[in-house]
Order: sequence, then structure tokens, then C-alpha cells
Amino acid sequence: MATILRNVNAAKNIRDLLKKSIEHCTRSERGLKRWQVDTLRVMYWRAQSYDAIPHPERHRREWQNWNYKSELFAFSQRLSEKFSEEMLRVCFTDKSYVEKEDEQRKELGMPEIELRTENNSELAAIGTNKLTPFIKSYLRYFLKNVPEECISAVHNYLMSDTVLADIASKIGCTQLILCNAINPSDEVKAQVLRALIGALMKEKGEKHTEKFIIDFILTYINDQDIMEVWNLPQAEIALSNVLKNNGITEYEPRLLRESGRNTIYACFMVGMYVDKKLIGFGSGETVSIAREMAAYDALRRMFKLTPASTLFKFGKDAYNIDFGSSSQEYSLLNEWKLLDLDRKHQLKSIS
Amino acid sequence: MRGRVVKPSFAVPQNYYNLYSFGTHRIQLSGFTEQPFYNGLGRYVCQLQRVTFKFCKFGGSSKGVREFIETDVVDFSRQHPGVVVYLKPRRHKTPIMVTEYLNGNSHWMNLRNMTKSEIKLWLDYMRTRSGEPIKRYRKKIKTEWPSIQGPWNPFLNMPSFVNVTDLPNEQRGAFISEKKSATQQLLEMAKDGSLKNILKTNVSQEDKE
Repeated sequence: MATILRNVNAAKNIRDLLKKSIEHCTRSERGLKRWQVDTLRVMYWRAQSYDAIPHPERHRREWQNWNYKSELFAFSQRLSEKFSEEMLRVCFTDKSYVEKEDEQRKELGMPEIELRTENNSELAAIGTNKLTPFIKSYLRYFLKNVPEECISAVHNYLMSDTVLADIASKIGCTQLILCNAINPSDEVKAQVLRALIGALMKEKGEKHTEKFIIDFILTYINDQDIMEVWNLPQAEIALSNVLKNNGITEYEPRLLRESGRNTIYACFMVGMYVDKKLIGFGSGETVSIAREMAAYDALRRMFKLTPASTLFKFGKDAYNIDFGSSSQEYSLLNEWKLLDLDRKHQLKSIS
Repeated sequence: MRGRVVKPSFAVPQNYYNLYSFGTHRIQLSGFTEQPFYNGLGRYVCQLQRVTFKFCKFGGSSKGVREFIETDVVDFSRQHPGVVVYLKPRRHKTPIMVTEYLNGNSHWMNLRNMTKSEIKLWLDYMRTRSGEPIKRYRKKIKTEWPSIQGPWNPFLNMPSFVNVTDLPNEQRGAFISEKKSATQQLLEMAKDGSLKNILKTNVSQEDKE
């Protein structure tokens, strides 16, 4: 007991106290005593619950079982790619890491010795230059009836930092990144993934990189609603524009059904008619919402973005498709027209 | 007397708690699949990223682990080069295995007195997991399209002629049973001519003619 009290007096804070008392208990000759266990357990949970001092965050590399070389090797094997180790080291080195190292050197008083490490910004630029046109031509190949705004919206979604960072963390980049923070931000992770694609471009060539992009980045749009990603504002204005471009000046929104008017359960159903043919319908709690939804539905049918008709190909099925044939930009929404061949088919009424 | 030293529960690092078992009903985890569901559409990425074995070089409880390391660990890392294997000999300690996954979770497991084949099976089990905590699925599917038909409304699948009919309507209100009744079936069979050897007792005059 005397030793415990001595320890209590010497302890700086509660965590230190706990550590010292646990040490005392576990190392005492008589072993751990039952009453000490209970007390310590209560003390531990109290420390966890309200007077807790947060554990300092530590990077995974500070643990003993960490070998950066073999981690890098495993990384490339995991993706069934053959990156060279030097290239991978460059890919995972962020700009902030190099700056931090340089500052540390200055503080230590040896600014002459420059850190000769490259960062991944050059490779990332190469990667972006490959990603942008390839993603767009891939989307154009499978979405043949949409305006250019849709293509660029989906492209921006796929190239956003959140999506790229998610992909990067799911293939195991997070702990390998060298940057100034312990947990790399989304920007840093996305930069690393772009750099990896740049590295593939440099080492393996264009065709191989395309396979990588199909497998890891474009699979992200599987099961996504393209119209929702696009988030087209003011559907009815867009619909009237599109119809005008096709030489149809008049369309008629008609109230198909209604129920529970002037109640909180009101439901209206509006259909869009062209030449007495129903081209889309939607429902909502007010007439204006239902009208907007009907226009949205009509556009979805025109752009062929219904779940049954957005069918992408991934993996081996998509490797041998020539996406270069679809590199030409589509017309914008203001000038967009239905394809001549199947105009009749696309504007057919819905039974 | 030197008693059995029970390691207190808090001695286990916090990140080893992340994978829960099903547990009893009160503490049961439930939810949806959160694994990268696009995994395998293009290329499959094994979600196990590293394994650490801690074992004793002399202890009896680590015998199985030692045998496993002698015979199988090299084969394992040849077959699965995407998994980093670390071996940590620790004197007079119970053998354990820590598996770390790509989603940041890790799982601590005791290998005390396990045989070589048992360890192989457990390692294979850990390798094929996604790193998600074991939980009861509220639904067995997960989709980014919440509803393919759109939000439900009371007019879904209602034929359009109902717009202009007065209700109650005989055609709409008639009871349609799921299965055909015996009488209906017999009548149909009689119509087809597949019904033979049956005595017609109440044959009306019209039929006779």
C-alpha cells in the first residue's frame, strides 16, 4: 500500500497514475490482487468516460511491425500491377512531406543539405491529363443520347477529391502516404491516386493505364443514378428547350390523377403530352412539383437514363473496346437534338 | 501463492475492438453492407492487408504457430503476395494473430494451443473477410437506386380507364381468386375435351339436341 501511495504522489496526471499503479500490480511478487483489479477497472473506465486525456495519434509506421519496402511490394501485388519501387516511393510522397523535411533541416541548422526527394505533383499532372479525356470518351461510348453537360457532370463527380480519395483508401493507400499529417486529407489521397495513374502511363503505356482506369475508377459509377449525379436544375425549362430544338413548340402538361386535395396527403400526377402522346409522367404533393417531376421523367426517357438502359461494361468486357471513336464532344443542352433515326421511337407514347 | 495473472480487458489496444461478434440481442450490431461493392467488377482486391503473428519460441502453447511458420507461412505469402506477414517472437507469451484490413479495422485473435491446421483455417477465414464488423443485416441487399419505380403513390399501376368510370364498378370490384376452383377446372377440361369417362347425369335438353 505504501508503494501505491508513493506512486500516487509521484504521478503527474491520471493516465500516469494508472500506468504506475498497473505496473505495481502486475509486477508485485504476489501477483495481481482481486481488489486492485476491480479498482483499476473502475478507474480505467472513468478515465475513458469523462476525465479522459486523448491518446496522442500515432502513424502506423511508428509500430515495430512495419516494413515500408514490403508494404510497397504488397501494394502493387494487391492490384496485380508491377510498379517499380522507386516510382511507388515518388507516388506516395506528397509535396507537404518534402517541405516539412526541409523545414526540419533548417531548424537543425543544416539547410545546405537539400532533401533530394521528388514529390508526386508531376506524376499527378500526367495522370489527370490521361484521366479526363479517357473518362469522357468512356462515358460517351455508353451514354449515346445525352448532352455534353451530363458527360462533364459525371466526369467531375468521378474526378472529385471525395470519390478519388475513397477509391485510394479502399486499395490501401492511406497508411503508405508520406505527408505532413498523420491522417492524410482527401486532397492528398486523390493526388496520390492520380500520381499512380501517371506512373502507370510512364512505365506501362497508355493501353495498360486504360485497363487500370476501367477497373478501379469507372467501376465507381456502377449502380449510380446518372440523373442524380448530374442534378439537372429546372427540368421543365430544359424540356421545353429540347422540344423546341426538335421543332416541337407545344407540349401539354395535363393532370392525370389527383387525390386528397387540401390535405397533407395530397398527391397529384401530371403527364407531359406531345401530339396527344404521353412522353413522361411524375407525381408530387403539389401540382408544380408534379409538373417538374413529369418533365424530369420525360427528359430521363429521352436521354435514355432509365435503370434498364444505362448499361456500362467493366473489366475484361471493356478492355478491347475502342473508346477513341467516341472522343468527339456532344452538343450542349441548348442545342441538343434527338437522334434523327429513332426520333419517332424516342417520342413514342408510354403505354 | 502465485495465482493466474488475468490480463485486464483494457490491456488490449483499442483498435482491436473494432470487429464485434454478433453478441447477444441487446448489444447486437445491425446495419447494411458497407464494403466497396464495386470490388471485383473490374479487379478483385483482397481486403486483408497485413497479418502479425506473435509467438514464443519455447512455449508449448505456441507449438502450432511454430509448425505453421516452419511449413506453411512461406506458401501463404507466395500465394497471397498482397498480404504482408510479420512474425514477432515474444518470450513466454501466448501466441496471437492480428489481422489488419484496408478499411482501417483490425482483429486480434488468440491462438493458444491451436494446431497448425486450425491456424491455417482461421487465417483463410480472416483473408476472405472484408474487415467489416460481423453484424446482422437489416436487408440482404444494398443499392444506390433507392427505388426503380420511383416514389410510391396511390395510383401506381392503376389502369387509366378508372379515370372515367363511376365507382363502384362491377369489373373492378369483382373478386378474383388466386387459384382456380375445382368447378372452374372441370368446366375447362370439359371444354377442351380432355375429360372422358364421366357420367353426365343432368344433361339438359339443349345439349341432347
